[in-house]
Amino acid sequence: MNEKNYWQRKATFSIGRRRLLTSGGAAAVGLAALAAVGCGDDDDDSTEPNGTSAPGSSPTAAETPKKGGSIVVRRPSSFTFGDPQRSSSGYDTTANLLFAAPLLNLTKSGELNAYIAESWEQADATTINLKLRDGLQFTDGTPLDADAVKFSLLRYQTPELASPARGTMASIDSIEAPDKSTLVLKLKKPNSTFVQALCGPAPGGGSALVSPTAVGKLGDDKFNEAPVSIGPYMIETFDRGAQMVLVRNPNWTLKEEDGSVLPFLDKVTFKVIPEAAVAMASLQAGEIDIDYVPSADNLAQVKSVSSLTYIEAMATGLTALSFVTNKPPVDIVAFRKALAYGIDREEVATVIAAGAAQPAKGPLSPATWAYDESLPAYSYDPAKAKAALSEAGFPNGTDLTILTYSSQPYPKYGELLQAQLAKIGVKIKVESVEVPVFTEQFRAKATYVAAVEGMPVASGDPWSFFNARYGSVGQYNAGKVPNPDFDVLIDKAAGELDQKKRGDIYHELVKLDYEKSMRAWLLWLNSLTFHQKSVQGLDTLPIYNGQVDLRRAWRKS
Amino acid sequence: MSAYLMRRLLQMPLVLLLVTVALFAIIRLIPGDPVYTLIGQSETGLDEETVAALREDLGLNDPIWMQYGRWLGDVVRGDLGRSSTNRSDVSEQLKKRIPVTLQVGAASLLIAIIIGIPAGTIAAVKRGTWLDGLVTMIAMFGIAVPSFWLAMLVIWLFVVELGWLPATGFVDLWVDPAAAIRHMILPALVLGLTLSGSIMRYTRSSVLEVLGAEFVRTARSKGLNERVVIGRHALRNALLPVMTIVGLQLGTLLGGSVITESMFALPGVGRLAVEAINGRDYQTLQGVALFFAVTVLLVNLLTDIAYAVIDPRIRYG
Repeated sequence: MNEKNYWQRKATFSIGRRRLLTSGGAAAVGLAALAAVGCGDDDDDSTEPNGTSAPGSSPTAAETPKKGGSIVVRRPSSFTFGDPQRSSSGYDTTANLLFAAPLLNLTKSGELNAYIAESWEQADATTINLKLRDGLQFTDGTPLDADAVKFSLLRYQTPELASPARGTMASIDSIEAPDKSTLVLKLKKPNSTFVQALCGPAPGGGSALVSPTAVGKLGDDKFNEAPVSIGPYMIETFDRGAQMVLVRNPNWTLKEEDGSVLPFLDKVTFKVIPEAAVAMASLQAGEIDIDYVPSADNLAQVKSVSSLTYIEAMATGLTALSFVTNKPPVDIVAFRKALAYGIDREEVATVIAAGAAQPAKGPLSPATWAYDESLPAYSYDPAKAKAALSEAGFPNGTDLTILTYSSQPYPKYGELLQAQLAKIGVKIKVESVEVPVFTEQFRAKATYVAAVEGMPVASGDPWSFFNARYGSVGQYNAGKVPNPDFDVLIDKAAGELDQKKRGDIYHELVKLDYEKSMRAWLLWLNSLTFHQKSVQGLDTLPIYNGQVDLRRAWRKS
Repeated sequence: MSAYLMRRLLQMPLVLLLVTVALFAIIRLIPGDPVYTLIGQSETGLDEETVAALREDLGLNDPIWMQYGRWLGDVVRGDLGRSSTNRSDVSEQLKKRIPVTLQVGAASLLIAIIIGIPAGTIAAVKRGTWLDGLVTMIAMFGIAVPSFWLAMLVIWLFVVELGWLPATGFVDLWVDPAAAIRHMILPALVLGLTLSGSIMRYTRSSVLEVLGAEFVRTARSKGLNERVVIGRHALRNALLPVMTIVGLQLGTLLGGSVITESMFALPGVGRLAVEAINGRDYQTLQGVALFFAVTVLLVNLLTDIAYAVIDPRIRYG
């Protein structure tokens, strides 16, 4: 790994302004030290934003959190599922973490820590041992023992549940529960990174635990309306289209690393407000406290209101021009290279994200331990683009239709690529469609051969990121193009228990991606959270688009 | 009258049948497939086996006529099916959402009538004056202004600047009447204002027509007070066609609820429709459209009946 990557540079800058004197050069020491001193802003009277959140930073720490109070959090769309095992929306993670605590916790430095599970061990590439804490119980009083966890993990595999995590959890072959607190998970085939699924609540992760009593009593559909799990909070009322009200779970006894017992707040309400502009007005009026999926267009407004501030999580989203690599004309490697060289990512970053983004340098971002800045990446070079285009057999240029989502800023990406690639002689036609149509027409049926798409960056271990995008049967491998050379490396990584060696394999994958120009990587995007200054203890999650982590939130006055 | 009523009631299922056939076909013409909306944003998403099972479960593999037949059969038995997006019972969802739409819709209609009828009457009585011009201009503004823009405007004024009212949320009138009214004012105002324009225009022209009628001249020549002439004689007769318009406005009201409910974060049927369209949730969308169709048909019927009850000249046979 590089000595000083993007995160560290950014964090150095952030600390430099606020804490350099008090932290005594902590920035130079790196991520571990950063975690100790924190880099968030806790000066209320300051007009500075709530700082830049970077991996390794800890939430605001200077003041002792106060108990009591409540907050209202905006959610941009109706809840699809209440059942944390069925969550399909990217917005669900923030709420799920509060009432459905994961077995393990992923830290920003990519480590897996014990949580509901007291300890864990990857015995070999197909065996994971889990030891549970004693005395925990679901919010309906059902004991949380090995049988309950076994029930929860296997429930993910039920086809009728259609859990988005089913694909991941189906890799469990069997679960043994030799005693009340011990579980032995056997996987169908070697996967040294499966354990990461046990830290992800949703969607995709398989760590949400559900009360077997409640599921048995209510059945899957009714349980979805009134889910019972375990966490610092529990559900008081739930109306899918309007709100979810969470209140303190009086039986939550788990101690945090600093000795505190969560939660600090009495109540957290997630209120559905579809329109970003209306949410901004509500935030200004003090009607809501947090908007964790705001429109970046409103950032200037947040900066101008003295009671508001924001958190920016660096490089949590990734965009790319993706291809169906076995269909003309994008089946020609030189043509894909021409496109990768022909895109001016700096300009795209400026136009699309007004500074809240950087040019992406390949599939791995600084959000994962596997990132290495020295890996090859494409940058804007019109001369090389034109040469590659000639090599591809299009000396006079050609036409290409690109599909993208109809929601902004994606059509804007289309327009920019159209203008930029016209300069090298590639005439782009852009078609914008809604997400389901995009999924069907590009990913599933490959009716279109090129598309601008967005994705969360790989965090923690990037295995599933590679598997989903390069694996021959990967979910995001558009058209399911067979990639045997990638498959070999992906399988090899799955069986490799040594993280350093696994990292080397990931670097091989990145180089292969570069050589074949599998995608033209566009931007690393930052995610924003707007909030009232009176709400403290906020952090961003290392996974799932850098959503806000409310577990340690507290109210100042 | 009863024969007429019977005929109308018998026509209803036929109209509904045609509406559902058209709707069933149109929804399926929109590109996109419900199954693909179920594929979450996860790294792994749904695997092939799950997608196939879902497709089978939702009956999407069957020919469209078979899907329609099955759906119609279920509807006749009172079962609107289950949402393809969140697997919940469509009837249950509608049961939760209808009161929201009705509550806000009724308040909007009330505001539209309170504004529209007096303003239209004033404009007619003061025909050709600056007052008429002003009222007409406001009416045109009400008709022309996009409701999402008006919504943002009132939110900015009453929520952000003045801090008088909440911008979002819904409170049941029977649970907390004061809070319910506070929450309802802005959405009802926006929807009401956009509806009041046409009510105002119709009232104006209807009152003008009646003012020229012989019975009004007779009333005046009897030496009746102008207020009595307008209030008791002219307006009562002029309101008959206006009532039809108010009935017809229901369609606009339901259409408007789609935008208003999204803007003011109201969990009503209008927003359910938007969510169902975005998610290609055929079952829910069919349920919503059926609700809209039944409501419009019923209100039209009620308007016609009320017409006959109020106006003794009208006899249906």
